[in-house]
Amino acid sequence: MEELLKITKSGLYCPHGDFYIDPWGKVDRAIVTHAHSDHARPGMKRYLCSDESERVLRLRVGQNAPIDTLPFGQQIDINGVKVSLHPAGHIIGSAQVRVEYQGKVAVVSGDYKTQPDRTCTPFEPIRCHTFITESTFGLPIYQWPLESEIFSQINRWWRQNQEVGKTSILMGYSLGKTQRALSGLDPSIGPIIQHDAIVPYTDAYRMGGVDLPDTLRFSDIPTRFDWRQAMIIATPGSNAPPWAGKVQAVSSAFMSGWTAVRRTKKRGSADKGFILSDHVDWPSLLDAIAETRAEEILVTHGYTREVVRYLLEQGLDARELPTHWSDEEPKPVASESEPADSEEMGGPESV
Amino acid sequence: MKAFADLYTELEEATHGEDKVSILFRYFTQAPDEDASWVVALIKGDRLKRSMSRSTFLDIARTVASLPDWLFEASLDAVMDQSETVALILPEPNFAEESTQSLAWWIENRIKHLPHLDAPQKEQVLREAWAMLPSSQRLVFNKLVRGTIRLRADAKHLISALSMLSGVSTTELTHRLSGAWIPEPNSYQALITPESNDFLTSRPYPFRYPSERASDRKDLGLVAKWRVEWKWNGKRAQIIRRSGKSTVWLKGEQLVQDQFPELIELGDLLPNGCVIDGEILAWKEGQPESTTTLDKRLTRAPKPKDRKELPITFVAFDLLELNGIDLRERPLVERLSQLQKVMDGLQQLGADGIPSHPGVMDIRPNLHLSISIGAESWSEVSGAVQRARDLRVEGVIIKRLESAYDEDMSDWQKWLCEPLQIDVVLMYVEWVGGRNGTEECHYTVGLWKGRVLVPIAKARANLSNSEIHAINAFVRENTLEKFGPVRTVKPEIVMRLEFDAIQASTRTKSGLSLKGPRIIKWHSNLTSGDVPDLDVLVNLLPS
Repeated sequence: MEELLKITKSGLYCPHGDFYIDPWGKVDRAIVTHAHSDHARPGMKRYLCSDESERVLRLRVGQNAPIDTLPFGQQIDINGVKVSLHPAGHIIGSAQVRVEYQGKVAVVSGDYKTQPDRTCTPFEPIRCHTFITESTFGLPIYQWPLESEIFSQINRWWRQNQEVGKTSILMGYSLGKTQRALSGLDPSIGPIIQHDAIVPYTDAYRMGGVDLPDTLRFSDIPTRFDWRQAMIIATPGSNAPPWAGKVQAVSSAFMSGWTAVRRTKKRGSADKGFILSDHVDWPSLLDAIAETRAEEILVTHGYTREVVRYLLEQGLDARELPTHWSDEEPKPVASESEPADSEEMGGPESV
Repeated sequence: MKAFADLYTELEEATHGEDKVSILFRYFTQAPDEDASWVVALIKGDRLKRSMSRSTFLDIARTVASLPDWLFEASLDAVMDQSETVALILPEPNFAEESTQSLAWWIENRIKHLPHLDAPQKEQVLREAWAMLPSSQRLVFNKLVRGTIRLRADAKHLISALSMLSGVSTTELTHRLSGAWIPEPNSYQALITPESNDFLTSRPYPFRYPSERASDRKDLGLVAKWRVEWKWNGKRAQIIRRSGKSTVWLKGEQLVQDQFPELIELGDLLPNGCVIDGEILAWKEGQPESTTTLDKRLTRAPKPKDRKELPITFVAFDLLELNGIDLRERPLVERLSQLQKVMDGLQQLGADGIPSHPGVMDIRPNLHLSISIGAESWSEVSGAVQRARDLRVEGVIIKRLESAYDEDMSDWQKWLCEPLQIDVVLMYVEWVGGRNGTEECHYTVGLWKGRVLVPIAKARANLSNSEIHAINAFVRENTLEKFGPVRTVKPEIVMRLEFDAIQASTRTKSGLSLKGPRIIKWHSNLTSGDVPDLDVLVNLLPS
């Protein structure tokens, strides 16, 4: 591995090819797996990404950034190293980077999921010697429900809110999560309104050929408007949301894999959580690793220690790879106000 | 079970009371009676007993999950809830295998049997359940098995929802729901059926309470329009005699006949269809004893020795039902005269010669009647309040003679005696956390006993934020010792402590127990040398 890819101060580096993958320092040549900010940083001299990723990457690193693109599956040669991109199924254009040198193959998965998601090209397992995987949700407690089940929960919640005259506010990360949510909304229920911050990303998805239901832009809404029927798609965390004052009664929900666990469910002011994640859950992580038939597994951001130990016990060669990558939705801190049953917390028990 | 799992989650997510009511309403409109009845039981707080110990439960879960032990532990650490962890780590059932059984079915046919099964059978039941229930249903199933389920709604939400559903008034529902609840379909049907009578046996009426604040003297009118009695410091209770059965209820719907067989014996002397409201007091030689004495009686069914050494009495002050007729709408003056007649019927002659407390009339052993203090003006009432502490009562209570036994607080008011005050020195500080970034602390304060400081009370501070910050800054700088969240502080901070009452106690170092202690002032100019000796406080004990 040391000769093919290694960690340097600026990021994951390929010495033979003289390029970086998702670097955190400013470098001459960066291959970018996807456009989330911990992977795609501005200021590189030259970028390479999948052609499906270009539009969203420009939104993140600048419209005039020097970006080369590559269709999925096409191989190029960089200083004698064979490089190709393969779908990672995380968000639009997200790619795994396959690197081959003298018959040795390494795959950097970036962030990925294997669940269906019609807003991006599905994950493709790649045979390799070394597989670099994320481990955001690398504990067996994380097992995602079917996407269709979550979408019907969201639509049902929207209808119930309408019945009691409340506006629904659905919050998620601006790039990827909210477009995926849009793809599952039933526009026959009522008008769908996008927070302005999301609009450019959704437009990029639409231009990329992803079919999404019609939406209104929040700032275009006329003064007299029946908010009670509406679904607002928004990003979390704004303390003074623009709808405050316009919209009377609301019910808000937050979409994230973290909402699978009750103590990390409530985020900010959200009333509800929907388990919609763009990362692999535990069973898919193990399946994905098995399908690569890799001899060496390098585990990054997330439950690295646990995943490494588990893989070692399964007889695989695994170790941690320290990177600056993280989940785009950092794990929420458990709310302290949540009273927990002492018995459930594991205190002493008399029998 | 799915509807119940959804109910559990939705109640947990709801932050507003009105939302909880509509969630419950929606649940009850579709729930079968047997499930609805269990939900009523769970909200009322009649927890299902634990059917399995934690270790057995976790052992079975470890076996079924077949994960390495350390990974199971890491999962427990991440979730911090055993039932939930087990619900999450197992695979989802195939749609075809999913259970469609009801909540009641799972409880009656599976969970209730668990304690009587041997180990392999227990494992079999859990395996089967976990294979048939999706994750959210496994969560509630596990919590039912472990006896740790808590629905995040209270009786008020429940009553509002059921009232919307059935048209039965909330007052009637409150009455019907007070007392023990048997989670059966019939109970639920009877609960929501208009004009059903099955509920009357053994159920107490909702207690009515005096308002905390006395209204303006001039709004009260003539003192002759009011009943003025001492405010007893015991446990409020109703003695109920119906269908040849006696029961005793404390407020908060606690049945206490086992603890107070004396009161059941009294109840057995009452005519059928009779409910008396009053106060249980520890009572020795004609005088009320401290509440700590009464607390000893509350914890267990008494041995013959306890009845002798920790005697109690019931001080009756209202009559809510006679001959099966609800008297609550009648004016107090009429209820009192009826109560007097009931008491006359129980009167046992031959007093033991010890003069009793002036606030009561002796009726028979373990029974007294609260009497008017006989004030003829409001200033006499105020004077009585001044004497209250010496008489071992909290103050007086005034009740409008024409008032019904309802919820109009202005008709019942309590006038409590002025709190006592003493200067104390800060000894320990316990951080108990706080919301919104405030520092919430418990302060333990003490007095000198010779050259040693003795703790006398643990109290919260009613001080300004800046004062609390200043004190806590001092504490951080001057911590002598740390023990968990408790810090021992250099004894230099002097505070003014206020409290409502004082009584002897065998459970504290000082031999005293203060009621309602709170810190009201920080004497930044005084030092620990200015604090009085413990004897000063001991002298305040009622003789």
